[in-house]
Amino acid sequence: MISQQLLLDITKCSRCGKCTAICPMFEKTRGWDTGVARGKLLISWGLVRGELEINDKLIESLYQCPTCMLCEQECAAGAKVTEIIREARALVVERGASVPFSHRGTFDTVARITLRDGLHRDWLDLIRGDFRESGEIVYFPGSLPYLEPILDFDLGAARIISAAVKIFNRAGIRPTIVKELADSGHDTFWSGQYQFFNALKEKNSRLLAGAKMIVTTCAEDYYILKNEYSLDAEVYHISQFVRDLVREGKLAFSKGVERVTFHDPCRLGRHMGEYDAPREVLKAFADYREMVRYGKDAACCGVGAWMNCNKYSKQLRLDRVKEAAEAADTLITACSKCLSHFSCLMTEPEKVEDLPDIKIVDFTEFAARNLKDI
Amino acid sequence: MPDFEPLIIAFACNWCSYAASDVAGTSRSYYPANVRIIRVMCSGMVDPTYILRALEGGADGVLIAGCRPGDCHYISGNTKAEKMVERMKTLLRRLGLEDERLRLQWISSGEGRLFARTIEEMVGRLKEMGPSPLKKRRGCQA
Repeated sequence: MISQQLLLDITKCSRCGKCTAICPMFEKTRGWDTGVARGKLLISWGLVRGELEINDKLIESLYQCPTCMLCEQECAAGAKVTEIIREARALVVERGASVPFSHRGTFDTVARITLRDGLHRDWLDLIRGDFRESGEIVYFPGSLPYLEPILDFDLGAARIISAAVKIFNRAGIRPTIVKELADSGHDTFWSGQYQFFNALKEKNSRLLAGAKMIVTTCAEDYYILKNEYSLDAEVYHISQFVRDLVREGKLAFSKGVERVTFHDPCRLGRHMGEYDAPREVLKAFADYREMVRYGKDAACCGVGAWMNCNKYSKQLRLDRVKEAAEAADTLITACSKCLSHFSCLMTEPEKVEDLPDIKIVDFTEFAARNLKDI
Repeated sequence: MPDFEPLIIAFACNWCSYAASDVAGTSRSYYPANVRIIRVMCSGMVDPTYILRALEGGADGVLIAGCRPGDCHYISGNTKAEKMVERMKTLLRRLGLEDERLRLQWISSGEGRLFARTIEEMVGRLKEMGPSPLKKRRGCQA
């Protein structure tokens, strides 16, 4: 149920329209106010009060938002827009409507299957490197091994997971990888399926009970483990982990000549406030360039939580990739969603006009590739 | 489990395999009653989510039946299905399900006998393998 504080937040909105100027999705849809924060707040209000009935238009309005938080950051009244939208989605789910997931809900189904006990998971053979299956320092790959086969392009799950293990190994750590872990639940949480999320959270919390430190390679997993789970362990994103290791002198990189730029995932940047760690690491060994929109003003990759991938989100992606191509030859990102969306775009050169020539690489993979022996 | 009867969901292509199941019926070929056939316009339209939802909902096996390579009514739907099935087998293995629960079979429209044999083989194999680990226990509605 939506909290009193958030309801007050809805009334904070003075309808100034700043969000209409800043929302990346609204810039593409050019629709009515229902496509932008101030309209969505009103819809949420109507839903809470029971004055609105749930129909396709309402669902589209609430679920088209990638919850990138750009509007919330700039909101003059300081309304917590993304949280309100999430709570409104929860109301929609509570009243029995289905979530408009992309890929016909495949990822949601996979998350439900990962929740089941008694399956003998088999993906540890993807990993090259030294790891153990129980211990205190845990590497959390999330649903990466399960996402990859669904997508019809090479996401590089094996490469990313092995890269993370390589980083651990170089620092003299044998990370723990728990293959029974369920999906982190980020997408179920942001789509408003709280009951489902709690089940995932309960299972993962049980499996992670003995952990002292958890490292994730995905910004979304980092967000959800740190914010919504109540774990005893310290949660780090791999960029923070690598930065700390470099500062302690346990890792070193060999200088590269590649021109690289970094796309801030919304979950790592605006939601968690971590802008510096990946930059500090990348600047240490690569020819780092900044894009026009970076840091807290970084543009969105187009889709959050696998919802509503459509022509507008594709335009957002294309814009971002073009922007990156002006700055560098390689685009680094630290979130498996951003990575898969950008990679997906790059696999369609015949369908997309003026697609720039740029490589999309995950942060973990790029860092591991340039590791140097100390 | 001696009394275990597996449940198979079959996605059969409208142009070949569904017609083959008709031929199997009209020529009175016997095949086990464990299969539920869903007609699709092309094997290429079978989405990963159909397979996962079938297994999640309690099916022990999923059969995707399409036209033989080169015979697809829509030119290349069956090759698309073949790639998808390969990827889904990987996913099932990683999730902890036996990849044999998913089978792709090319059955052209006259091959009623092959359709019947495919179902027979699949039922035999699934009986050896036992119920799907995703199946809810008896007495508990899925």
